[in-house]
Amino acid sequence: MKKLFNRERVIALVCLAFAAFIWFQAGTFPESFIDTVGPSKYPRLLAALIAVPSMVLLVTSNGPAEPIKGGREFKSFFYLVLCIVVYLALFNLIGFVLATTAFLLALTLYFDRRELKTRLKIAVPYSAGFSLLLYFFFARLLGVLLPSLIL
Amino acid sequence: MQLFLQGLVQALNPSTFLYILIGIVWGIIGGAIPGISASVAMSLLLPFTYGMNPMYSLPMLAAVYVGAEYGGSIPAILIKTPGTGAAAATVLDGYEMNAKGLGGKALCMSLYAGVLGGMVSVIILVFTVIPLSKFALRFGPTEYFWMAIMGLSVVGAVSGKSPAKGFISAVFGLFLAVIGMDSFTAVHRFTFGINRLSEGLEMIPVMVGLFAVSEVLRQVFNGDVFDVIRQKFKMTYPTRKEFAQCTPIVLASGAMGSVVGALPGAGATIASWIAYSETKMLCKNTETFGTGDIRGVAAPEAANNSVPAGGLIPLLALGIPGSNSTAILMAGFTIAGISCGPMLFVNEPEIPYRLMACMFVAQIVLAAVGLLVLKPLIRLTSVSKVYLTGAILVFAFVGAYAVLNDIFASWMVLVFGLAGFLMKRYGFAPPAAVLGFVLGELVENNMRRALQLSRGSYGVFFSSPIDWVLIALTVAGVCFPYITAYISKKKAGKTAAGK
Repeated sequence: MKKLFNRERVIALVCLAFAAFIWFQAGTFPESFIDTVGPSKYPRLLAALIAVPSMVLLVTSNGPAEPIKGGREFKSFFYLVLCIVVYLALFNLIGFVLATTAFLLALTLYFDRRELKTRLKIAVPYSAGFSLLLYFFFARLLGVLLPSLIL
Repeated sequence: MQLFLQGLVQALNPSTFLYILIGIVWGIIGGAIPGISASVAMSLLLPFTYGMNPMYSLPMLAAVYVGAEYGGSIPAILIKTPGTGAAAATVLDGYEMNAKGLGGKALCMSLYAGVLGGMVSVIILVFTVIPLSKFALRFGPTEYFWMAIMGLSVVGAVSGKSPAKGFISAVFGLFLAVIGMDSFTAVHRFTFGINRLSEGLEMIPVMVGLFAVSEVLRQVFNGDVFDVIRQKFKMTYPTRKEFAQCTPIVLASGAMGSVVGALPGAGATIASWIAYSETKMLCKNTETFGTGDIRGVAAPEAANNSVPAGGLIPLLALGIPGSNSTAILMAGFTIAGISCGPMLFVNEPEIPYRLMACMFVAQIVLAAVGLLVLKPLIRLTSVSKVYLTGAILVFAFVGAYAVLNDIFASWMVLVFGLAGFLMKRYGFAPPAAVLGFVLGELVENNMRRALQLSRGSYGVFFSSPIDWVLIALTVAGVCFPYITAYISKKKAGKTAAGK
């Protein structure tokens, strides 16, 4: 069963499902009397162009898939994504400077693997300084309307 | 030529000069940081070109490209880690020179070769772009359609190990360009009731997400973010004899690099390897190559620095980007409301000539800045990646936010960052998707226009000799990277064996 559904075949099946989604979704577009081609033909062509190499991948992927190179830091990865989600959620609520300082602090304190005292000595001025520098660069020099709570 | 000279005068205008300077500094920094390529450095700066005068934004983006191609050689020479793929060939002799205590000499030669090679390629660009664009004026919808498909033939060069996945990535990019309101019928396609998608996907969140954020996510997932590199360094300079010995190599490699840069799908990496191999083949006393020969630094650096101007040939004359970086430059044109292609030389000829002149001035600025920032940049290669990661992410999200003044754009960056990460992880090619996205509108609109004119007959796509030439070039473009990669691999293998 493992041989039958190796990683490459699962990828091919996901691509086929995506192609099918485009195909059927395109079928729901209303046809036009003005345009002889219509809005659905081209997306359907793209769906077919995804389906054909996916079929090739499905048929030719025999045996175990080649292992993916590199480490697998799931914990760090999910922590980073969580930090980004929280950062974007807080961006408008607490303002650019506070949100960015907190975001950079959360990242540097977690990923820097030195002693906590050393980390704090670098991370705190870096996070606050970089946020303020960016705020002045974007908001004051470039005129970007960044959300601000304290500035 | 007169327009080029006028462009030179405008390029020396203090404001334009300042933006070129910013672009060069940013490009060198981006190129010098391993993991940040020319395209990532350009994509991070792209959001800030919104609302900017194209007189400044386009030279700045082009200068980033020029600076990054040089910057890549700094970590290649100092820490055996090419900052960009194009600097990989420089590692062979550059790092060996550094190991012998001649790192400063290698860096200076890299700068000299880059600047001179870049100037040669700008001159070639000035003389070739007009004949090509005049020819392109004969194009109709089918020719434009095939030309866009020819642009997509670059996919082979950026698709990694699996051509099937590279192809799927490119079609995925074409699909992303479909999202939004259909320009022919005003039907909403794949918007899922989200009003913000009715105008289509914004170029910047897609590019920044697929290039920059996906790379950060990949580095964190692989644990590369914890790397800290430190190196001691002593400054040395090349002798007059070495400059004289390398100048003909630099001129030849620069000319060759601009030809390779003009070919869709070839790019700086292939150019530098070809230059290295050809120099080794044609020069005398080549047994020292690979052991710290200064000619082994001059040849690839001249070639990869001449690629940015070479890449402008198809971009300006035909409206076709030949690489990731020129695709971003094309996005810069789009943001400024300017369409690349032959009509640009008819309607606004001063714009392309000004850009060419700015590229020329950028080489001079690169020489000055390169010498000034050499020592501080060397320190940058030893900065902890943890701090760079945070800075890159903030730049990416704020940059996208600045485009629409809406946090929705930043969320899109995250979505495309995750999509790019998954694509990279499972062997797909985010650069191919970006290329598909950039060319998507051109492909669909011209295909539909041609079919409307022919009342649905597909024979229209094969009706003119130009169509057939473009089809042949597309086939050649698809095969070319595989052939050159095979040759480069064989030659690199021989070089390593000789070493």
